[in-house]
Amino acid sequence: MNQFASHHQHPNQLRHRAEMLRRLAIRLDSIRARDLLALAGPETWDSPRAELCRELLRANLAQIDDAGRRLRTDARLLEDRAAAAEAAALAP
Amino acid sequence: MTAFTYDPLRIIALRQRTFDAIDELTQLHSSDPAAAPALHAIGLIRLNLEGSWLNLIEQIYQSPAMVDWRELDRLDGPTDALVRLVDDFGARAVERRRRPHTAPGNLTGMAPVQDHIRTAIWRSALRALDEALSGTGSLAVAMRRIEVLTNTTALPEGAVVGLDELVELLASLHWALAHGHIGIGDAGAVEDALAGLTARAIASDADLDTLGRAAVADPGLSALVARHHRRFPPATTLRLATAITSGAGTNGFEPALAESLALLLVVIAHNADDATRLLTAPEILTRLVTDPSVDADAVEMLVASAIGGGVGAASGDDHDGPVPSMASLEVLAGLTTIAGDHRLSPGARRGTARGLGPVLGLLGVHLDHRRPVSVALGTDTVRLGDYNALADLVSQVLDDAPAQVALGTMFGAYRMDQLENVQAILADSDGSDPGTATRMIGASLADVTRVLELVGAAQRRHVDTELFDFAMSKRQVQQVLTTLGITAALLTGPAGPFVLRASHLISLSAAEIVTALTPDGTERIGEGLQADAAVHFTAAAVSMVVGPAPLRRAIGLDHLDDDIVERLGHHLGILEDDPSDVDALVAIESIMAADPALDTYLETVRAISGEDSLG
Repeated sequence: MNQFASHHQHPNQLRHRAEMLRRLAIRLDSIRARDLLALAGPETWDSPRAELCRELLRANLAQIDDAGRRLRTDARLLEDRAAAAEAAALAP
Repeated sequence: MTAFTYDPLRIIALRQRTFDAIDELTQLHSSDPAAAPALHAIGLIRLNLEGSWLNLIEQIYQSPAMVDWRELDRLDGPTDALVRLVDDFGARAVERRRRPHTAPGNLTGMAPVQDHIRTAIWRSALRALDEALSGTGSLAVAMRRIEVLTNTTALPEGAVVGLDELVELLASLHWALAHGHIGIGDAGAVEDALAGLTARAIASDADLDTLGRAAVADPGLSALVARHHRRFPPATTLRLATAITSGAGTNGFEPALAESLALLLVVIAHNADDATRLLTAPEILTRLVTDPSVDADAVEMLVASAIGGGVGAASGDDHDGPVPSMASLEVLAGLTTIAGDHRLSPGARRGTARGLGPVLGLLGVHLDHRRPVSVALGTDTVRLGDYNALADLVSQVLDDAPAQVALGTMFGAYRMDQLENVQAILADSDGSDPGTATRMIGASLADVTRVLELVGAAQRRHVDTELFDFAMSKRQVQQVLTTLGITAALLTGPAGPFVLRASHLISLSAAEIVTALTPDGTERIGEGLQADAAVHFTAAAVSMVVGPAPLRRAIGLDHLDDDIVERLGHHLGILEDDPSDVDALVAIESIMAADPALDTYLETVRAISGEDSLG
């Protein structure tokens, strides 16, 4: 089953899902892990291994950013689908 | 091994924020299938933080440097003096925030960095103490910091710290104490802490040299080492004592330096090996035993320990009893040499007297006035010096009243041991072979005789030895009399009339001794009385020689010509009538000395009787 599941979902359910995806995206925008980069600069620790940790965290945060954008995209798709479902229901 | 530089405060903050971040990520959930990619990304970042990040942070956080730093931080509150650490998870150190940033690529040579940083740690503690002593800082804080530094096992031995700074701190301590900035109790604690720091600061011979130079300049430092000597390696006290002794001027030791040196010497004296090690250096020995400004009691303890304290329990090849160490005999040889050219200090004389006691057994075997005194131990030989030089040493010892008493007591105890051996021989003899018994007695007492002859040689250097005589004889007059009685009974056997004669003479001399040595008669100890006693002993001995022929055979003198026996009997008769007849006594002694067997016999009887000790 694809991630947008059933086409039989009620528009309100679709909008609720979109809202939840957006909230998750917003939380990802401000996770505390983003602060770690600022706290883990060379003035805190300095070594090749520390630099590796920082690079890994940057990569992880880039993945989080991608995930956030995707969540927002999916949220829009779910809202579009809810709107389409409502329009179909009102159509004569 | 990877090296790190890090800021402990920031590491602590980073650690906490990492935990917070992981907790937050753990709480992010979504059952929406569209959130699966996001949850996957969250899982990856959690995996990284819990694995790589937290693992590395915990390694740093639990490293010895960080543990120490956190301990200091807990005790003192945040301290900006120690804010940057370098850690390679094994060897680690601390540096100041102001130190220029060290790039990872420049950490290939960690040792200089660590030395620098260790110094920073130590100086931080010392600075805190300095501030406390000058009244600008908290003593409690300084002491807690020093306690952490001195007790931690993580700090490598030999951390670089300037001994000069410790000396300055010690001076500050004395100043603070003198000006009431610190109480006596606190001063003791600070001194203890400084001792701990100083001990930790010593890592090499060069450090000991530095300490030695500092000790010469500041008596307080050597006093500190002496008072806290258990904190230091044994070599420390030796090195300081050597440095102070060598570095003192020709005008003697300053009082404060002499006091510090005395403390060190007393510590060293408690270990005979250390004492001999110090005194086998000729220039040190000479200075310590001749300089009157060195504390007499300390020198006495040191010399006694060096000569007599190194005596072991094993038996030697040619005598029974304890065996001195080669080192202790070398010290004795050194003293003998010095005594020929210098006047020994009172402490040295008393220490020599006390130290000689345990070595008398070995010494007696090797004493012969006709040749230099050499003592063989195994394959090694120590030449103590010429017989006369040794007599000079004993003479100097006898020329000090307390030393004379000590030496007399030592000789007396030694002779008592030998007399007990004689008594054992006599007790085991059934009288059937008195010649053998006599030879055994003579062998047992020959060493006593030789030692007493040495004292006699010293006495002839016009030394008044009343105290020596008294000390030696007092404890054992009963022993002497008992032995004499047994000897007489054994040697005379059934020769009835002679027994009466010998007993009369022995009783007479015994009465003189007892009178001389009773408390009431103490003041009567004098030349005349002792001379009388000597006459009686000699007369008693000669009476056995001129007795019946079986008796002479029994004591191994059956070869004597009738003429000698007759002449001795003649002069003995004069003495019996007038014990003060010196001419008769001289005549007897001349006859006895002319015949080797008679001379040996007289020596034996003198040893038994203690006649030599009486003048």
